[in-house]
Amino acid sequence: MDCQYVRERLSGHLDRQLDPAEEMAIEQHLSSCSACQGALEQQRVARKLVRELAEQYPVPSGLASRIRASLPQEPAAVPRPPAWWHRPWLGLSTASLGGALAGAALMLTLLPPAANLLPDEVLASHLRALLPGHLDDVASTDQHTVKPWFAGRLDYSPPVYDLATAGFPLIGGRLDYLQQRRVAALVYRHKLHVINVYVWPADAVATQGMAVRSRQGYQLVTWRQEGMNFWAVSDLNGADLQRFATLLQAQAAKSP
Amino acid sequence: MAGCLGLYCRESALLQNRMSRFEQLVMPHLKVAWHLARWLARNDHDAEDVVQEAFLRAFRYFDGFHGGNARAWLLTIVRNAYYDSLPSGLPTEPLDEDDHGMALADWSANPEQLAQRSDDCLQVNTALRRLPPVYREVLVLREIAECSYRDIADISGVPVGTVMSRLSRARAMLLHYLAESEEK
Repeated sequence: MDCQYVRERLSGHLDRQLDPAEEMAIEQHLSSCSACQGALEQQRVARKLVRELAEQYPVPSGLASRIRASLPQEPAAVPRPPAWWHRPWLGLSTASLGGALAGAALMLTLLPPAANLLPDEVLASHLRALLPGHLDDVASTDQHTVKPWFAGRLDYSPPVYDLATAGFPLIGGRLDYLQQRRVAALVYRHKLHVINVYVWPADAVATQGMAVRSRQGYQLVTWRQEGMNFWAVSDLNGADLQRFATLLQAQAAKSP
Repeated sequence: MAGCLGLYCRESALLQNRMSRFEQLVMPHLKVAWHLARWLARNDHDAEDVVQEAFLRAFRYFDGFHGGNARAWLLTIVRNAYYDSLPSGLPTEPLDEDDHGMALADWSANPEQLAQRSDDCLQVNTALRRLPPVYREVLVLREIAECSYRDIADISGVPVGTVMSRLSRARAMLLHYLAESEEK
């Protein structure tokens, strides 16, 4: 048995993790090899030093409550309208007439104005995109690869910029569907956070400043520029997402 | 309509049930999750990002956790979240472990001498921080998180034999770094 083989197993011997046959072989070797005995002693010292001296970093105060606050609080992680939203007769067929009438009255009061649906639609799309395998159809950090990929897939050309130098690398793009139309979705990353940016032609040309809102712990920043609607959504904190949006805005203004 | 409200209530009840199971099974392991993240990331800020992301993932995939060791399951997620947070993404494994670990491992240092002179908290922690991630990780999982070899194997996705050889090398490398810092 060579020393190399034994030394690879010294931690197992020290921690009593070897099977009996191996244990016997190692002990036999150790009894006749002083170099390996020294190496075993080293292992013992190293184990002791780490156990006794390695820093036990205290958990930051408030971390537990920050974690609890970040967990989804609502039943459905992905907001989706119930079936009767699109097919109201489903409700009618299952409920009594009285129930249906009451339901209709309730529905009228529950229906949000159409404009308010867009943020939910964008957020739902963002969350769907985070499911495995859904994030990018074209995975590339190169804006010159991502931009042409949209050619022939959209009737407009979305502006694509890489912001890697500012800490927001472009990681890809895909087609998505919002407001009954195909839209470009550009995917950026900032540390652990994914940012989806949706871009599509606006009905109005006038530039519109940034508006910020949050939904279920996600941040949404939206603006209109160069005739395009921009929607950026992420679980990034509001300040960082706005910084990202400002950088993107500046890029778009520089090279329309 | 009544059906829909019923469904909503049911989902709401399910979520509450899930929340309380999560509280019971996962939240108690925050401390060990923090230790692993902090030792991997090596600063508070990034470690907090990693832990937050890990708990969010754990919550999302909680339905896929069918009993077993919640602690090891959470540590696996923390480890993945850490490596996902790196620009390079993949674990920074030495390409050839045989050459790498062995070259740095100093099997000949005099352990008694080392035990005396490196009774210095600062030096041990500096040496630990210097270890390549795969070796730092295995030491932290074993000596700080007090995981079994089997759990470490599951968490790092390698066979138990590899855990053993990594741990042997990690300990030898640590002493090598300590001896080095003594020389300076």
